[in-house]
Amino acid sequence: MITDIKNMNDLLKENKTLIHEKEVLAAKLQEALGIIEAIRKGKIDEVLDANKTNNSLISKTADETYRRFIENMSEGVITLHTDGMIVYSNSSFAKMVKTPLKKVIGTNVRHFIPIESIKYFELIFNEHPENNAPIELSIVNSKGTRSHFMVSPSWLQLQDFLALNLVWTDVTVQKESEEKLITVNQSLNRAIEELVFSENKVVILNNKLKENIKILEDANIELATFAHIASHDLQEPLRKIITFSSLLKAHYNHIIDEKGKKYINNMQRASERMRDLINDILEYSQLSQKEFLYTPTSLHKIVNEIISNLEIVIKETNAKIIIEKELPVIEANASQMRQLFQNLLSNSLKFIKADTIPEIHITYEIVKGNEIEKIDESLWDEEFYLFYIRDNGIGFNQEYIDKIFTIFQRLHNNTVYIGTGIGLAICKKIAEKHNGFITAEGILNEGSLFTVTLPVKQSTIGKHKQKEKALFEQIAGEDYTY
Amino acid sequence: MLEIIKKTRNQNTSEPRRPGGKRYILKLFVSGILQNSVRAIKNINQICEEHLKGNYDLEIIDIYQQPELAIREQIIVIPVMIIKYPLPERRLIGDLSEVEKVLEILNSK
Repeated sequence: MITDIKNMNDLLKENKTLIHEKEVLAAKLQEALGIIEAIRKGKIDEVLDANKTNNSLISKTADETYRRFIENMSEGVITLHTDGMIVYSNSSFAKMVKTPLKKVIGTNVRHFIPIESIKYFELIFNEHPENNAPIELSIVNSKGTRSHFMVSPSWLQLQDFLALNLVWTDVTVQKESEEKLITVNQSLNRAIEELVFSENKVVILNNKLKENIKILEDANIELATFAHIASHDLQEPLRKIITFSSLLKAHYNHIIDEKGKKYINNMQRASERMRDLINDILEYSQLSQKEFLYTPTSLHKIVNEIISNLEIVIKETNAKIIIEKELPVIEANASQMRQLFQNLLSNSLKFIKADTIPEIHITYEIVKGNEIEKIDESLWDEEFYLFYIRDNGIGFNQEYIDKIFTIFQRLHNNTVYIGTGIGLAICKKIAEKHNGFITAEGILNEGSLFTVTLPVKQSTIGKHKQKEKALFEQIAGEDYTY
Repeated sequence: MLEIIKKTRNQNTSEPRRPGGKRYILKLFVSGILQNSVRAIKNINQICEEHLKGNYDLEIIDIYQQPELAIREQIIVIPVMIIKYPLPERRLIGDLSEVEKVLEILNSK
């Protein structure tokens, strides 16, 4: 019984298997019939030799050579159906659109063409089949990256439809370098434009500078001439005032009362001051105009002469003038050096403290240009004299430093300290005329220190200046027109 | 840009999957631009878009380019479409021009 049941089960199983096998066979038969029907109806393109030992699956047909050739091309090749569907694509094209080959075939080519290129693509489609002119098209791959291609179309009449073959040549690199070139060109053009613009600006500024220099020169000459003429012309009436006030005093002394005499004295003092002023202005204006030669000048001799000239004042004030070491012989204009040191010494003798014996120290040293503040780098290797005139007078507040060398600037009124206010301005001018400069340091109620900086060799400094001038003229004279 | 990317999405994978619909995985083996192969490509695309929209994954394989796939599937004639899913696996031979028949097979269990 048990074996019967077992046999039954086996039989049932066997039956199932048989039914399944029958179904499979039926399906295979169906498939085989389908194949036969398809072949009969001509719906088969190829029958394959499924011999796996033979690596080439496909029967060697005539067009295999061309297929391999196309497949190995680095250009992308696709065949489009009339509506734009890709019915064939080689591997290169699939790589270009970064899409698996099996997903490329059956897809409409328009899906790979960005919106802005679509209208050019449609042009190919609407073109007359004879027109095979290549056009430029872009492709967007599955990653969204754009590439540029030269696309050569060719039409081919197949059994069912008119096929369009497209060969895609990647011109991205050329296109990019072309675009880069355009960008570079544009920025170059911009740079040139800017250059031209700024050069035009330079020309305009230069012309303005030239104009200004001319105006300045004219004004300087005019001013100097004016000062010269004015002082000359002023001297004459002034002389008359002095002469007539002296005559007044000499001849009418007995009939003028004390008040009148005081008025005359005031008048004479004012006139003398006027005369001093005129003389100083005259000197100052002449300094501006004069060109002169530098000759070896013994400063030691000059300063000693000045000291003996100032003997009366020195005695009156009990002042001590100490020349700490023998002053050098320098390349300079002797009379201007005399004026410079005379003014500085007079200045120190003038602004003395009432309760202190005045002491004036004069000394000098030689230093290189690079040790001096505010000197141009081109002169760093040159040697310079630094002359120091130090006193223990009333000094001055350092905040007035700009004023003391300016013409007619006075820190003190005329009742305590007499003077014209031109002396130090003359000193400054002389130092500048000698390619140098003058500086001052002061401590109120302690004293002042004047430093005169002059080049050791005027000739080399002169050369520097000439070079500078020549350079300037060259720049100013250049023609900037394009 | 987004629009372009969206537009360039492969047509074969079609639109987002429709919920609830039957899922189809189809592989069509063709041979270059031979007449029946091209027809099959055209026809299956049309059928898919019209009847299976959003519910299919179609791969079209040129046996000259990927013969290893053809060997693996033991392909004898071209063109042939293999319905990988839904099971059981079935094969349709020819240019797939008989739309009714194709649909019938696609829809049969």
